[in-house]
Amino acid sequence: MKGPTKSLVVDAVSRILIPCIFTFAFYVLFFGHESPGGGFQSGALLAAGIILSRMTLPEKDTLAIMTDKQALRIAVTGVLIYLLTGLIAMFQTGNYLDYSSLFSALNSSMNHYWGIMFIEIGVTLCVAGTMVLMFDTLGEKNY
Amino acid sequence: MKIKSLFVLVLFGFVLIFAQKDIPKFGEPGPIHEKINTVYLRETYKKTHTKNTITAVLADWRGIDTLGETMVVFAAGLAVLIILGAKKIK
Repeated sequence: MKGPTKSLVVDAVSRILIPCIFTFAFYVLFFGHESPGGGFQSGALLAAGIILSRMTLPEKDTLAIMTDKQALRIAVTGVLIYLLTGLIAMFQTGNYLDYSSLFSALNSSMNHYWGIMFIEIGVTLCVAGTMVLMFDTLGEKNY
Repeated sequence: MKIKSLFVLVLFGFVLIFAQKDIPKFGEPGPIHEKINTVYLRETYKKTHTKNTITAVLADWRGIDTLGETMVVFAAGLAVLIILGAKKIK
């Protein structure tokens, strides 16, 4: 029941705190278009939540959020999302990462919005996966 | 040996003092401040329809730069995995 710290208080507080950190990470990601924030910050927040769960929760619960193999796959997926967005933009307009006609159904403003949003999601996944992967690799436990 | 090091050091100091003349004064409108900065501020909303200029510069004007940053982060993670954690993840 209790995690590596053997403290019920730390366990209960981190179970409350981790969903709040994830919610704030998604807020920073999706409002990065109009307020300070963006992909790198959001990825760091997601990784902070997962690393907090690695340090405080029992092994079964923290591995239910993300295992180390999943972290590697998520990091690769983030880079691939970024590259594919650039490639789709290149097939539509001729320039790499030019979002002005990414989807032909939308107007130019929404095309820029979704282009920036896709690459921010890619950056978020890459940064979060890489940080969790580094923590799991450098830690002493074998998951 | 120490004389040679002192000679190189004094020479380097003279080079620095010589190059110091070309540094622009603090707050002086130099070539960087005049050209690209105002272009970004003026043209961002017209061209990219994004209210946040920083996001537009990061993701839209300089998208390939951000792609490089992302791949550097990912390469750092892969380097840690390959060098230190080869036994852990099969």
